[in-house]
Amino acid sequence: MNTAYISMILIMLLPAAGILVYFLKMFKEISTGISIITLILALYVFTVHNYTYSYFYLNNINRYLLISIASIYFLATVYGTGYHRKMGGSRNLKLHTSLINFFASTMFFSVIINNLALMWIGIEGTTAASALLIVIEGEGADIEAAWRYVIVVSSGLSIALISIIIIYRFYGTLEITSLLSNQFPSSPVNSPVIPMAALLGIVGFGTKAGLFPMHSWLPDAHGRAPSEVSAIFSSALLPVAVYAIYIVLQPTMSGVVRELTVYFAIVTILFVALVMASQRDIKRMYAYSTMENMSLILLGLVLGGPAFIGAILIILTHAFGKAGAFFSSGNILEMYGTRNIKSIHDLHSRSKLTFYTLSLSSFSVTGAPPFGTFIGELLILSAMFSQGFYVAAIILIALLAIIFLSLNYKVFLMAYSSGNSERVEPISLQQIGVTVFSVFMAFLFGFLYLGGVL
Amino acid sequence: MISNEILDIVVAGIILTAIWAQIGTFIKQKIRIVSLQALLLALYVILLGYDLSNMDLIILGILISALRGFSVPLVLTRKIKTSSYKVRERISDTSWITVASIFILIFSFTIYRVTFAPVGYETVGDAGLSLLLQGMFLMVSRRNKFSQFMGYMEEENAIIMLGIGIISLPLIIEASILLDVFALLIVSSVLIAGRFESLKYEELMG
Repeated sequence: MNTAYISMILIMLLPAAGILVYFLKMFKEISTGISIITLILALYVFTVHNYTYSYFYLNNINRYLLISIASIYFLATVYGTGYHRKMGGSRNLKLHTSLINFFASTMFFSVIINNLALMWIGIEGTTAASALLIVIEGEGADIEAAWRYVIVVSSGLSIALISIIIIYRFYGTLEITSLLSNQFPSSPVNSPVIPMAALLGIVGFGTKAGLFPMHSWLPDAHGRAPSEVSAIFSSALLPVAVYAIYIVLQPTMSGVVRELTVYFAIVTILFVALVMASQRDIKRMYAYSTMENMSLILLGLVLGGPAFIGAILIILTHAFGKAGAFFSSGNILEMYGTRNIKSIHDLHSRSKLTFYTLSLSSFSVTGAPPFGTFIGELLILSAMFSQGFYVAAIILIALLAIIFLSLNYKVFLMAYSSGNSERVEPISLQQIGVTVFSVFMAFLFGFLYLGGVL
Repeated sequence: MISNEILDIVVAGIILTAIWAQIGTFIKQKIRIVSLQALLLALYVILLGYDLSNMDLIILGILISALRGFSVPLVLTRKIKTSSYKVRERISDTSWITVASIFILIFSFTIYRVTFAPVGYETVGDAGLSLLLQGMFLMVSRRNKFSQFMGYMEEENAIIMLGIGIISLPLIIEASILLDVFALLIVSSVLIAGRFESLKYEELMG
């Protein structure tokens, strides 16, 4: 067994074993330790070459996903120690911390397992592992949000399983490396059932990825979950679902399927542009923004070429940028005691640091230069023009501008509007440190790309 | 050699349980109907496995009966107090649901024959598609969490039937899917506790 293979096993097993911290007194410290070791292992695996390692594999997408999941898992664990400090060593917090570990393990499994059906099982497992993370405070709306998450996502994923069965029927394999290689003696892509498999895959995994119109769980779950859980959902979990769509689309790809996927993504972004201006809840606003970012990633992966690089840039920048946005939202929620945008006033003078982290993370997720998302969007748009999607590309530019203005205007309102807002209490050092670090990392990727490092 | 007629009768029984679950409003009864559906599915899979001398199918059938036929009612009925045995879901009229579920049945059989004909037509496959749509309909037409979860269980039963109709997945994968769904059942039973009806919250709008 080589070191890369052992590292991959450990990346999954360590967080899985982390579920046992429920029984330990030092559960926070041990969880943080596990997340650090996992991040180091993920960084090591990132450096090894693309290959099939027994049951696992590495390619040019999942190595980046691995890094982003491990990073956000680490940041969320540290952030959680500060965010939930008032809960002390309560059983609820122990359960919450142990489930975060297990949740991370299911995401790692989904990303590197070299079998599409087992990947499906991993993604379904993420639902079971994460549903209870939403209800740490046990309020009625939290339970309802978690319930919607379980029911909507699970039924959506059932549809994805039909797509997998059809793929298995036609290609005789579920090995992801084989499906992605597209080297089959006789391609059944002309069969009318194959586009249906693609469509079922988009609808099924798209439910988890938050594609319109199957997104209904997403703003509820993101809005009600604790901020570090929202960050993991948005930055790590949803890109895994988008990646699953990409895998299903590779063997089933045809002109019709490509167009269908592009329009699915555009319609999702159109929906986000329509609802963004009317958002009242800061976390729901960022949840809708995630739908936009996932659609862009899907567009980039499907269009290929330079757009593919654009998608990778968005995966990385969005992971840290959106985590920064949710961490900042959590800090604001703690400071102001509300998530209602209209009740948050004068952030600029009350907490300059939070103002900067919120603004910069908002710029990063809405594609402002010089963030990686901006470069990623440019690459995707150029690919759309070069592949003949002229109308869709022009519509996309307009929609991205609307979303950019709507979201950043709301941030501007929170920063400079005057009114009476009670400051509840200061935020912890861990929260500040993690938020600043996330925003800094989001800032970095654009430059890494321009510098030729990425 | 088991007659195809016997297998078709079992499939018909599964479809009947789906329609029964749509019409019924008593929660405990509904849970038992869907468990019966799982047991019929298990019987079908075991008979098919015996007929084809396929040990994997027989094991799958046993797993279905254990995890879905017996464990599901065991976990879920514990959430309903014994004193409230006759707990019913609030629903104004079941007549339109009856008509709609019959319509879904006809629609799904037609769709399956048109779309899946190139894959190879199997009775269990079109019954699977029908059950899938019935399950979805049960989820969207009710606000009661038990009914919604039963709809999901029907969907999962349907996937197994569709799988048999199109192509059986390897046993290890089928077994993992069953365990996954069972884990989800445990999580769902925690979320169901307390309030059985889905409610509208101001915080979840917009």
